[in-house]
Amino acid sequence: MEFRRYVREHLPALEVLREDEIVEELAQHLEDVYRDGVAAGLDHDAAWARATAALPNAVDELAAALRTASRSPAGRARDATLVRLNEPPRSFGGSMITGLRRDLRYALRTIFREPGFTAVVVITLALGIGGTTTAYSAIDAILLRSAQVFDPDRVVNAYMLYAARATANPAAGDQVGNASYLDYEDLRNSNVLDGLAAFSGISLTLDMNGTPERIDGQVVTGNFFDVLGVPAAVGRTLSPDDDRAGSPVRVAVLAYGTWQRRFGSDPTVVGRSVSLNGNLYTVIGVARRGFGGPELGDAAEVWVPMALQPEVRPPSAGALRLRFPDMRMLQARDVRWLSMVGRLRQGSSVAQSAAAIDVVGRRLQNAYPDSNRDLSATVLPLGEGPGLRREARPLLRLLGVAVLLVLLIACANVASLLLARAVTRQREVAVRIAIGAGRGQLVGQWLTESIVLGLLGSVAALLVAYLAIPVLHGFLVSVGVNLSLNLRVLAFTIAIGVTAGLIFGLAPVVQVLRPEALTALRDEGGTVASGVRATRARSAFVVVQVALSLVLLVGAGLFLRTLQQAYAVDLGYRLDRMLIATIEPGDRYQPAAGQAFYTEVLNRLNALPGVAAAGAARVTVLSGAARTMAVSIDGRPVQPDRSNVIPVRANVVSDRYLEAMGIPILMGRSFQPTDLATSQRVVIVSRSLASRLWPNADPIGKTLISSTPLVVVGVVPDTVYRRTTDRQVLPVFYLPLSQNYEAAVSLHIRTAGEPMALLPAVRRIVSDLDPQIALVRPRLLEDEFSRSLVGERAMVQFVGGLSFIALLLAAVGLYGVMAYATRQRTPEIGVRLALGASPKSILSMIVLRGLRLVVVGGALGLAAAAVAVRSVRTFLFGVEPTDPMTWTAVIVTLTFVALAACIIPARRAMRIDPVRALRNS
Amino acid sequence: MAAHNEIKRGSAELMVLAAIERRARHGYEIAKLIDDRSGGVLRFHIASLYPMLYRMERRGWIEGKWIEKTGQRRRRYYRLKPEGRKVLAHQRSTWRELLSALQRVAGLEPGR
Repeated sequence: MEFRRYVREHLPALEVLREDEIVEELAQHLEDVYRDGVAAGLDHDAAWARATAALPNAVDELAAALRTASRSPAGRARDATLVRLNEPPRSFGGSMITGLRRDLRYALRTIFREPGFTAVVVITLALGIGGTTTAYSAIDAILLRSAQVFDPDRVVNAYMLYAARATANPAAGDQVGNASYLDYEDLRNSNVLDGLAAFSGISLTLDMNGTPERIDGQVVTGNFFDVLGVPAAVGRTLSPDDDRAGSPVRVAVLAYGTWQRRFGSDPTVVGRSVSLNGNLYTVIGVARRGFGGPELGDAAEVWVPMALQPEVRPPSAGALRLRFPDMRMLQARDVRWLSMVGRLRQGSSVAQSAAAIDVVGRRLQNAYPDSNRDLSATVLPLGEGPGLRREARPLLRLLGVAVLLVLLIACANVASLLLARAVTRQREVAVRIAIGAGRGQLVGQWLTESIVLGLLGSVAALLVAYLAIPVLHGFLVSVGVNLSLNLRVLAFTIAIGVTAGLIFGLAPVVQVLRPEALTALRDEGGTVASGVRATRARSAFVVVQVALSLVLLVGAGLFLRTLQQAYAVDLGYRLDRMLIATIEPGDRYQPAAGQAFYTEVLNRLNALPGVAAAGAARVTVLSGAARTMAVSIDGRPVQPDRSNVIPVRANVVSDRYLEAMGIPILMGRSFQPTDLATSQRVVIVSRSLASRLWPNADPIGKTLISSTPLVVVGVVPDTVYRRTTDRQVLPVFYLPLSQNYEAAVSLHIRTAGEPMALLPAVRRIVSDLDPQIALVRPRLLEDEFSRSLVGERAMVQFVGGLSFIALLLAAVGLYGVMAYATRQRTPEIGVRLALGASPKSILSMIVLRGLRLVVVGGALGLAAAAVAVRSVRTFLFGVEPTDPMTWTAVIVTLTFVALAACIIPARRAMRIDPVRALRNS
Repeated sequence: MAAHNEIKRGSAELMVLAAIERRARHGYEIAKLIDDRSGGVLRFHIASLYPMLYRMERRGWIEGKWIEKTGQRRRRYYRLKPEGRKVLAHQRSTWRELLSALQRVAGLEPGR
């Protein structure tokens, strides 16, 4: 009895139902030790000492072990809650953490013991996960990241809605477009939305230290920041009081980045004056960090009130400037230049608001039949209208699928490698289990190891992504889209690494822990049997890898052909040695003075030595800009319901433009200095337009009816207007600059030698005539052409890169399986060789075996690719998804790579020394 | 004795199962039996014995029952269950293999 008390006093509470029994059992053990001591001749104290010494010093550990041992985890939990006395809570989980630490240490040891193996695995994972990370960073930046506004889900874009028949291209359906200020006011006052603001992007000249610089900004209504819920980081943002028509206040809000970069984060920036477009503005605050505007990609540096429109956003088209000598566009209902953004009412959905605002729009239609004909209004969720998100979505979806395929291939490779290694560890496993290691323990250890490998792969993947992201930037050119690796992308990468580790870690675990594995010690056949099963699994992996690689290869091939075709199109003009620079006389010139300015500049340019011809044009081809006008096809004026028009691309050009571009005159004449503003209005049409309007007749002298009647004086060949890969190829016509004043034009200068060498001379000519006018964005036409195809090029780079990686991984996987199988069969091969088989037959046997895998994988891949290419049709140009050249090239490439992967182990097999092989078996 | 710890840990279950192969015994008896048979080389302490017994009991290899024999206080006797017999046989064969392999490799004939 004494021992029971002793045990209780010294052993911590066990909190299990059986505690009394355990205590009694332990006490009996001690008592037995005591009795034996006494029986052996010891006195009471000595025997007592011996008995109590039997209870270890580390009673806590004993208690923990007793707890764990006597009840299952569920039972323990139940006991603990049932028997809970006033004991202070113990720190449990100590045993769990030490277990994890031990597994980690073991995993790291194994990993560093086999650096070659680890390196291969990590590199494979880096390629697979790296691609995924890169694609995800783009998806995150474009599709997932919300605008930096308050509660972005309740913010919507509002648009004017043009009925299809009223657009330049009725086949495309209803189009959304900008609003005029008066329409905006009516929509705002209708209160369909809880706040509606208008804004437009502007370009301002900021003069900080005497050096003027063009910056991007937005002119906004006073309620802009309120509606969006964007707070100020310093000072305050605009309020409706700052935007009073009639008493405009020159205030400005800076963007956070601008405040950091240009103003050095000056805490006293509020109240400072800055010069914008030659006027002094007072800075009233800095917007919250990260806000550049409501649209994806907006990177405004400054916001100014709408009331200041005349001085920050004067009309650009010459006709408008004639109409508004004071530059005020806000009073015109038919001048549509504003974007709108608003907030949904409480309890109102997007659909409801769209319907309600449509009603308002129709009311305006009835109230103003001339300016609002065929117009209504609508709302769309923020970012869902025309813009980067809508354009990029199909591409990002494609990329997402492609990188997933590569990730699968990479995981298959790693699983295959781990499987191969697990088979060699079989014996070790069996012995460890036999001498008492728990199965769970082993599984935990291996999973820890594969998760660590996965994490290492993730880290390496971040490096790969860091290098790959600039390639994506080539396509998503907008500077406001930040593709860098933020925390979300980081977390995503780590998660993928861990998940991949679990997935490919399970394969060998499942394989080796089967009961048969435990009999491995008993007979050799055990290892071979599971080795065979492993090889079968690995072969299946290879088949899948080949199939997936083939899909990617076909994609890459089609995109390559698209790029090829895009370059092959005959543009209709010459790209070489063409210098382009924009000049903007802007609001300081009345049309007459402006025309005189242009004429003088062009005369001086044409007189420059080294200039073959110089012209000017409103629209630079291949730059993405376009002006589209409606042309009547039946000789009648343009009908109100637009039933008799076709859309036509237009350009306003000087008289030597066509000559400078190398566009020949097919019929009639080019523009001449005699085509003045006061004489008959003329036009030059492209050949397709001429044959469309006047088939089988001489177009010269005919009248073309657009917004005004125009007399055709010349015909030129069809040329590429915006992009060689444009789906919608419209006919083109040209208007003379002398009859259609533009506030800004681009000089097009064809030079005899190196174009950039003439740039200083061109600059001097312009600045001699007006020092305030700068040459904006001097560039080469051939660079514009390259830029127009940047999307197609990026697709080739990205998908091409991915398919290369995929093919490489698949080849490595195939090689691995073939090499292993060959090694396994070395005795058999030795026998064959000894019996007289020719080395060549061995070679072909191995190669054929490998090719069999490739053929199966290839067949699967071709079937999958045939289905998959249908969905990439929208990205292709000039090629059908079934393009035979692509498919043939892909099959040939695959065969070649597969042969290479098989031949290396096959050659080794060929050279097996039969004697040595037989001796070793 | 540190060198023996590894081996002891791995072979503990085998020894305990073997100890109760013929008849049921209680904890102290098992420890004493192993101590005697091994000539004092393999000794079981309370800290390792009872947790192991409870664990094996939970796994269904052995069954512990309080039995009161005439003239003695009640004790907990452990007997081998069918599952335990299977495990004992399996572990025996594994150890035989290992030992014979070690013999061949490391030359373990007694007396060398």
